[in-house]
Amino acid sequence: MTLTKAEIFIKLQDVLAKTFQLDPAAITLEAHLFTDLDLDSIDAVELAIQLQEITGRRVKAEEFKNVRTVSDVVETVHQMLQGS
Amino acid sequence: MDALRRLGKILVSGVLFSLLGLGGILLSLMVLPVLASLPGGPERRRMRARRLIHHLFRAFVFALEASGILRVEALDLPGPEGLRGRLILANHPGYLDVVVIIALIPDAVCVVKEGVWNSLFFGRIVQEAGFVRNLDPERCLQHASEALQRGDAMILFPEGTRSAPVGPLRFRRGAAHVALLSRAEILPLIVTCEPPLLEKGRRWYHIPNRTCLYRVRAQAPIVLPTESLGDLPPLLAARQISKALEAQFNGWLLGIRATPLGEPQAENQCPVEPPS
Repeated sequence: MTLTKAEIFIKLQDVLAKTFQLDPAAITLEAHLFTDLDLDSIDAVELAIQLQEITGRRVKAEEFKNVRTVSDVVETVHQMLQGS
Repeated sequence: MDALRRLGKILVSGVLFSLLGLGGILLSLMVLPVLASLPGGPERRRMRARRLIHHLFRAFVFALEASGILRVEALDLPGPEGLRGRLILANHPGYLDVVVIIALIPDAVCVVKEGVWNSLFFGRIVQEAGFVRNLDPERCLQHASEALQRGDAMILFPEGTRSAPVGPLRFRRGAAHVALLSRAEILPLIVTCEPPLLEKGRRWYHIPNRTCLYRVRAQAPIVLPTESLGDLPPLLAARQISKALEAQFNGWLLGIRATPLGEPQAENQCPVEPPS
């Protein structure tokens, strides 16, 4: 499955908005997950599980460790899809 | 004279903090092994270690009171039966909050960060006492909830760190998750300290000249509205609970700050007594 980064972003926006009841307009590429979108480490665990639907496998903690912004998540997912 | 008094206080607090750490090591090496060899199951072992921490902190608070650094007043704290299995939530104005609260409550556990869990001074004791290690969020919530369901009273600071010096309290959602998972009744504590002592950004030697009045006020217990939360996914329910608790605590704090600092009514007063 190949998805462009733009397609990944749209899916991610949907996942974030639904899971955490966020305003989709607030979910920009630059948005910081923990400060701008007010996620916490418990939410991050859930997000990693939710990303399974896009990537096909559970995102490991180490793959998620340096993720700060929405754009970082898009990059991570993109790399995972390239690698698989 | 004032400068001298301050210097004296700084010296005394330095000595007391050192003694507290030393006490932690000595108790770990000499008293814990004895306690561990006493008869009784794991629950009694944990309780003895918790009492040990309680008495150590009580002695520490007593010394701080004796040296004029602070004075503790507890208002409306429930007895042991009112604490069993309760989730005790407190705001966090100063470094010594947890010490003061444990000195007032004999049998409580806390969540501790890795630094404390592995610390030379207190690691062994908090492990024996059944404190919860903040290893990763999932397991931490699970273990905290299990401790409450087992009947332990658990102290959490929903802010997750000391309060910002100005502005309203900002809660993180960990405490709401624990409340949601355990369904424990919540005992809110409002902690105030005037003048502030060891608030965020302060070091151990920042001791005000005046004696700090520490007040710990218990509020009416809170039961989560199970019905109204309905089938809300936990992540969203925790957001609601956390927001509601945050608003409630900020309301209480505003109310307290609005009323002038008068002497509380005598029948509510319960200062920390000298350790027995």
